[in-house]
Amino acid sequence: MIVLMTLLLGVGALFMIAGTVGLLRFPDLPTRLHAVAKADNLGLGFIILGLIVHTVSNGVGAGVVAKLLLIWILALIGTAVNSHLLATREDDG
Amino acid sequence: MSLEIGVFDGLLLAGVVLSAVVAVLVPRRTSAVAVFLVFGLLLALLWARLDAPDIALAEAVLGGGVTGALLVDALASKQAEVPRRRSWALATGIIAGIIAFLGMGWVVSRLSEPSGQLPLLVDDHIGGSGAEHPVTAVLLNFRSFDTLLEIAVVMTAVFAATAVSDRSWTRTLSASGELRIIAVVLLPVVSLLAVWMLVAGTTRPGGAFQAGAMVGAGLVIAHLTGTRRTSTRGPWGDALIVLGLVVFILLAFSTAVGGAGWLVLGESWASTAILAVEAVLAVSIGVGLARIFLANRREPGEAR
Amino acid sequence: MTVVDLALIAGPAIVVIGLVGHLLVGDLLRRIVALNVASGGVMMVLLAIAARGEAPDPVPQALVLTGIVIMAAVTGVALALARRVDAVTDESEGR
Repeated sequence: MIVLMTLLLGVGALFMIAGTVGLLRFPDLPTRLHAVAKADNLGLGFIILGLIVHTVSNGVGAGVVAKLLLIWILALIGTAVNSHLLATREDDG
Repeated sequence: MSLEIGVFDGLLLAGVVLSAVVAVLVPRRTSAVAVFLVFGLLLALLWARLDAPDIALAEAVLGGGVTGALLVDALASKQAEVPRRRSWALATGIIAGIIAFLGMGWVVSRLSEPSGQLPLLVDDHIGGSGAEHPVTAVLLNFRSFDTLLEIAVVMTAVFAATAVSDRSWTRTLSASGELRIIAVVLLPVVSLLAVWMLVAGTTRPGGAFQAGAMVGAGLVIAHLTGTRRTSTRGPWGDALIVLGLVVFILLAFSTAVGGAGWLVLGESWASTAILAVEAVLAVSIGVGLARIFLANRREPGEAR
Repeated sequence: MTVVDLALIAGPAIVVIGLVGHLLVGDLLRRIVALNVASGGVMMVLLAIAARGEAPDPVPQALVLTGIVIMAAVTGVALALARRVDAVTDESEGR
């Protein structure tokens, strides 16, 4: 269980790093938004999966798992909203 | 939670100090605000590590959410030219800072051992206090006078912000379809979270201030996505903002005149009183924070 | 050395960094950010003191919670004032 949790958290961290590298290295706003949105959502998803494994193996109930999934869904919605608003903004400086 | 140092704690504290230094020193406004948001997030993690989950919740929603929104909105104005400080001023500042740090370090190193008296007192009296969570009991029963003064300060700040604004910000923004969908998805979740945090404050981390910040965030989201009647302008907004302080003062007067003393809550009705006051405080703080943001927004006009 | 000791060293450092930054920086928005950083340091010291006993001491925690709410509201007012000051400075310098 610990191994599985560490693996999932590690994969999540890798995706986060990839998203950040993309943010720093891509040339303009749409490509940067692409990198951050895709990689960070996946990264967060894997981290939440790892946390679910951890809490389930510690015997906590379905409520905690549901709250963790809700966190992921809300983060997805937030990223989607932000990316859309940033990408379609009128350029006024 | 054991307080022994681990790798995570070292990294966390290093991150906190580093982001603080960068947030103060970096020359561009946008970078300073971005790093400050990171600082707020790391602080929330640190509060959770220091056994303060209420504070972690409040820091995340108020420091990251509300203060973050205010700072990012302020970025929209142009950066004015500023005079360079002369080098003697810089040197004096840095030397004074080092002396102050050493002084504070000396004071902190002479802290006596925790006597544990206050937590014991709280534990002894929490039975009839009307709340099971110690921080809520302290905030709304044992030290409720401080909370009354706090809500007075917040109300004054809200009216100061209203006075500085041009007092005629738009009542309704026109919003595109996607923004309305966002409102439909997010607002029920925000309302549910606000109510839950308010009610949960009695028995676990939560309470009026976190709920109030969620209410404020919900109102801002609602207004920015085109919902009508959420601009907090006008007499209804004023009434809701003043309501918190008024209710608290009424409670104080009624306990002083007809009860056991100023803000002494009787055991039988303490929990109802606390929940009622918390609900009103949450609404007041929420409307107040939303107004502080909305009254001074840049470019009121069409939302995309 | 516990987390509390580390926090009791880092806290005053952050307070000093924030205050010196607030007093020496010119731009108003950055000064407001520096003041918020300093208040974060103060909260760190208070919460470290609260965490020292076996059970966390709820009184400093309540004080810090009050402080966070007030800082958020006052930051809003400060930003509104800073915006007006900057606008007036721009006008008076003929920009």
